[in-house]
Amino acid sequence: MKYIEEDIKMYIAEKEYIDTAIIPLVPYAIDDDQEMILTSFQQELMTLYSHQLEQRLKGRLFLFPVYTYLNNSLIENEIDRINQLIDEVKKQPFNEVFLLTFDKQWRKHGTSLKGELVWLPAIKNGNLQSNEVREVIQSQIIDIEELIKESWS
Amino acid sequence: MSNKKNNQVSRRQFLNYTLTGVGGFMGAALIAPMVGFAVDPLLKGEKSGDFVYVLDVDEITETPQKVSFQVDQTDGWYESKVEKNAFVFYDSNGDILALSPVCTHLGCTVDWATEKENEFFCPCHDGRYNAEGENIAGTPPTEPLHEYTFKVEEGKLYLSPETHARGGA
Repeated sequence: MKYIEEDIKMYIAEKEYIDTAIIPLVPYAIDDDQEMILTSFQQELMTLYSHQLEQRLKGRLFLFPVYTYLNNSLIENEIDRINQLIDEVKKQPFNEVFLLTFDKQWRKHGTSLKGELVWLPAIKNGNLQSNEVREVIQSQIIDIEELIKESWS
Repeated sequence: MSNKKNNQVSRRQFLNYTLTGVGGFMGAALIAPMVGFAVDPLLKGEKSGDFVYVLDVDEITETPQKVSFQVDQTDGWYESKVEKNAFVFYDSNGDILALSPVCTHLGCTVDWATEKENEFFCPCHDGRYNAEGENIAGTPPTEPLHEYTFKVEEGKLYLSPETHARGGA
């Protein structure tokens, strides 16, 4: 399910079946050209990953709007805000909340987050249309899918 | 004197000409979009009827094979290429069947023979379908997996991007 009207209507009718949330954490930059290139590419990648996952597990997975923050802001300041968001999400109720990110700053804070952090090593750059890149992405997506399914059993 | 009068356009004539002219334009402005709407399904039909080659008929087996193909999709004004998947196989009558992997419960992607042999399985809520893609009673799905319209030309299998429910399967 995505945060679009059509899916939301379905979600409201079938809440009991949709118990897993995914929130992508995506940093962006505006003060540094190089960082801008890097974060925008990661943003594209995240769209690809999260939409593919959503498509495969549509009936049980709810893809939330992306959580964004400036990449040079203190990550500690974001934790409270994210935890508040997760509290709200869990009230719905969602049993599992996965936080999907390429930003390695989060790795140190995995335990202080109320959701399960899934950190992925990002491909640095490359043509998303090329077969090699696609294969890498595909295999990573399957790994995350397995992770999510494990939480269900 | 009378000559001069003949060359003049009378008030009545002038009004007639202008009103027919303006009325004609207004009429055309009303009717043109109507014709557009009326013909629209025809124009659209041609576009969605695009068949895509997926594999050769002699590659089809009795075991479902997952094939993927790309189609152009239009969401409002936004056009994109979307990858679609299908399970292609011969059913027990020896007919070709091209099934959509989208679970009829809430739209997850089902897989072949992952949980039980000779069954389609949906990982989200343990939905199950038999080897012909018919939903197994007691599991969440409410109808059989949908089917792609297909055509065979010169030994090649083409699928239409549209799927439809299976009647009487």
